[in-house]
Amino acid sequence: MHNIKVPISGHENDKIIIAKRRHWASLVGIMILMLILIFVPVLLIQAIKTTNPELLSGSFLTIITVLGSIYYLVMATFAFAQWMNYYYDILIVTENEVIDIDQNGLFDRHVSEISLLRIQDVSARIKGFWPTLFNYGDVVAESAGENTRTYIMNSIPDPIAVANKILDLHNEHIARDGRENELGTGEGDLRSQKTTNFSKIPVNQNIQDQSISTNVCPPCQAVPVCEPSTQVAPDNEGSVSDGALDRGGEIKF
Amino acid sequence: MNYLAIFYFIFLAIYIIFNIYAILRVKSIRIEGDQTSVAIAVYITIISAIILISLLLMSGLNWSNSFNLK
Repeated sequence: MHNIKVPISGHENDKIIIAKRRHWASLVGIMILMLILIFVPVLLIQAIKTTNPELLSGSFLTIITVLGSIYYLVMATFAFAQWMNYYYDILIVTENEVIDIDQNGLFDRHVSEISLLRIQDVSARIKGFWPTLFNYGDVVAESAGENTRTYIMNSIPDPIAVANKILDLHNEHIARDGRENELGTGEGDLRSQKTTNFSKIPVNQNIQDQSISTNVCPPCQAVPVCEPSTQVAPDNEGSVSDGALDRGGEIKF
Repeated sequence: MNYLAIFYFIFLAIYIIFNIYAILRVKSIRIEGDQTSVAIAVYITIISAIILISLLLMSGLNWSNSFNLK
């Protein structure tokens, strides 16, 4: 499947690391339903032929023929829409981002793009007998920032490996760009001035654990996002100054 | 003419127009390198076969009954 190109303008030449469609086993239920629906009219006509064969003549036969034709044409269109639904549900991981294309029928399409830098958490979920048997499931990715979003990619083959790969690519990005120090501040939480000690903040440590020292922001040291002139009154617990809004939870590019 | 025949041909006309639009829509969202053209060819073949067989069966039926226009 890697011979496809990224279907988003400006990204056609991005190198594709992972490209996966939904697992074929997720279609089994629909395929069985379609097979049953194909034979329902045939079985009905056989039943009428057995019980009351006089009905299969004259105007009733005309009606059955017309309705049967309409039925099978609608079925064919439904089957095509289901195939589109399957074929265009694609997960693409390039060297810079994760793209999830979600097709619903013929006229509904949702394309989500997440930068690998903004991914906060990736998990895999395999639930049920058939998914466990055929090793497919959901890959869930959460993005960092003030407005965290959850992206769910359904019925992906080998979701655990895909989730691990996305996380590896994310870590490679972080390491390559030298952004290890931003990992703690990139979590999207706006910290209160009163509870923050602006000494060097270790990576991945919850900054709410720091002791209260002052409500005046000291000159910037290890944390590059500090605004030296920002002051917060003691009774303004939970309020956010303009300077804090600018720095809270965002990775600076 | 027969009510049923008019109804069927109106349905066919709407169905064909809908499918033309659907196929054009599918072509517009194609990804380079996919198999959509094969799927569209198979789909057109199937619906053409259904329509052809239906018309053949209907041509042999007795339409001169209670559905006639007065």
